Amino acid sequence: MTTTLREMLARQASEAGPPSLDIDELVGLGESRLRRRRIVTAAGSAAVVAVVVVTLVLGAALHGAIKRGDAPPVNRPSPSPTEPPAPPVRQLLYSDVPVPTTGTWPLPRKGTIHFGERAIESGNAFVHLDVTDDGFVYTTKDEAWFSDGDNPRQIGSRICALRALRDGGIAHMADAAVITGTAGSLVAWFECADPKSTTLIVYDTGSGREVVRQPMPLCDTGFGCNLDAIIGEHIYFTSTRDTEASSPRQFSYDVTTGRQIPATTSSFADDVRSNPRRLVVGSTWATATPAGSGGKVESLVFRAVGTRLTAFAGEANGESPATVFDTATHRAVQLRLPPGYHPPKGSSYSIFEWLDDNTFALMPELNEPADIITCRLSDGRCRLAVKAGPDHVVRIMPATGLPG
Amino acid sequence: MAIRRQEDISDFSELVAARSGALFRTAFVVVGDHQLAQDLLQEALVKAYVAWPRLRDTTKAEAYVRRTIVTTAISWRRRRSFHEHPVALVPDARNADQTERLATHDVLWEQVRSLPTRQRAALVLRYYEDLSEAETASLLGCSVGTVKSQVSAALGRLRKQVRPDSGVLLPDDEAVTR
Repeated sequence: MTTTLREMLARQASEAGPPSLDIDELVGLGESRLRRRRIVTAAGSAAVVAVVVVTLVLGAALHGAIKRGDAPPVNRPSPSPTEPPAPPVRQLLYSDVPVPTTGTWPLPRKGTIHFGERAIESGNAFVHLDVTDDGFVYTTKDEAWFSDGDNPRQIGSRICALRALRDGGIAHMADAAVITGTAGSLVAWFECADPKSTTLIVYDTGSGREVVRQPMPLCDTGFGCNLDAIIGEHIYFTSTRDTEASSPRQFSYDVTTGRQIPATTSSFADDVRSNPRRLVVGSTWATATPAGSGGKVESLVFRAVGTRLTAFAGEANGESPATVFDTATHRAVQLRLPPGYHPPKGSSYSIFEWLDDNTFALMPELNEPADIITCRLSDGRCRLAVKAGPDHVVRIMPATGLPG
Repeated sequence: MAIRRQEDISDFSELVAARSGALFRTAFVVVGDHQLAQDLLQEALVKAYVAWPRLRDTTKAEAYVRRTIVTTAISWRRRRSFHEHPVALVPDARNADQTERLATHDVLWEQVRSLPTRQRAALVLRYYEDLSEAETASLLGCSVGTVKSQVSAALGRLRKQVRPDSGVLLPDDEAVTR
């Protein structure tokens, strides 16, 4: 029996089957690129105009100044593109930390932090990692550090939720001591410079400065306050003080206006639903709500079922398959396991990082190989992005604390 | 509101409906991976959408998409963001059941997949798409001499891996046999 190269290629090609393409999606992607191109062109033109105008103004002013002997007033026009540019794509962030050969987990631990294609030695031992549009954040015993992929720099200290670690105890909220949003540059934490007073700090990793330093008297009693989420410009946190049941427990602090208001389950859900990079659970988009925000659905995971990753919602009476919607497009999310990838039956995964509005990264539950999978919402395709490390390491992803 | 005219969008949709199957098959034999082929085709079609006013007719657009598939596959490999992992060791043809045509196909396919992307692309354009050396050169953006050397190197590698009695007829052999 013989075969030719032509025959073999034709046979393989015919076995490829039809592609799964969505014309609306292709048109949408094309339109979005065209829009981005227009913005860049507009910004470029505005920049050229600005340079010319500044040059002319400077030239005229200098000419006048020479004549008059005065310093020239300079008015710089500020080009303002009509639409904001698309947010940057975030880098995948994780760290493989060596498992101690003896004894229990000493916290914090040193390890190599993988940020996109870069591997960074933190230099100092860390407790947990988080990511912004500009780089990544990690916490040490009671400090917060930021790196854009190069040398880390300290951005905060005396973090309330890590006080116990500094004192040699266990910090139960270490993985939420410092939080970031699924998009943007904001990082938030509570600072306890004085054991009796709490201050909300919000740091902007884009501009490299603190944008909020707000005393929080309501967090000075009880077990203080826990940070819940950053949604857009809103910092959500919950007070643990012992008050009447009717008193508000959750609050929202608006970074732009400096206003702090009580939050409710529905106001939080509305905020989540109006921002991209979130999934909500429900039978329709109109009724879908975020998981774990005081509503009926307490948790959301994706389980490997056949060749698919099926969403399961955890409620008080157990877990069941659920429909989830993407807040950017309001479309139902359907994910497929990477082709040829066979995780243990029933393996479950949860989202730990959004890379852009269309892509997120998932990690498996504990005790399963810590492969990192990335999935695209537009077509439901997932791929194995980073294989699990060797047995002697434990993988740390954003917003998860070290074991122990 | 769409930036492209409705007429352009329907012409583009027609191209996708009529030719995406054939283009997908080309992408698949170039990259040897189903998911990557999907990604590659999607990327090429989106680029075609952006460039649509320049392409005008569907024949020109199809050629543009085919060219984009090949050049993007090569650039992905160059940037190392290509997630395909060619087999480190090519399966030994002697271990395959060479009396079965399917097994012979599989052995040869594995060997083609292990070729460097540029060589594989040249081979696919010449022996799957049946393009001439000049057409292949134009599509790859290189000289005819480069196409000749890429194809010759690819066939040379395949000959080294294929035993003469394996039942695989490579292009020169075909010519002799016919």
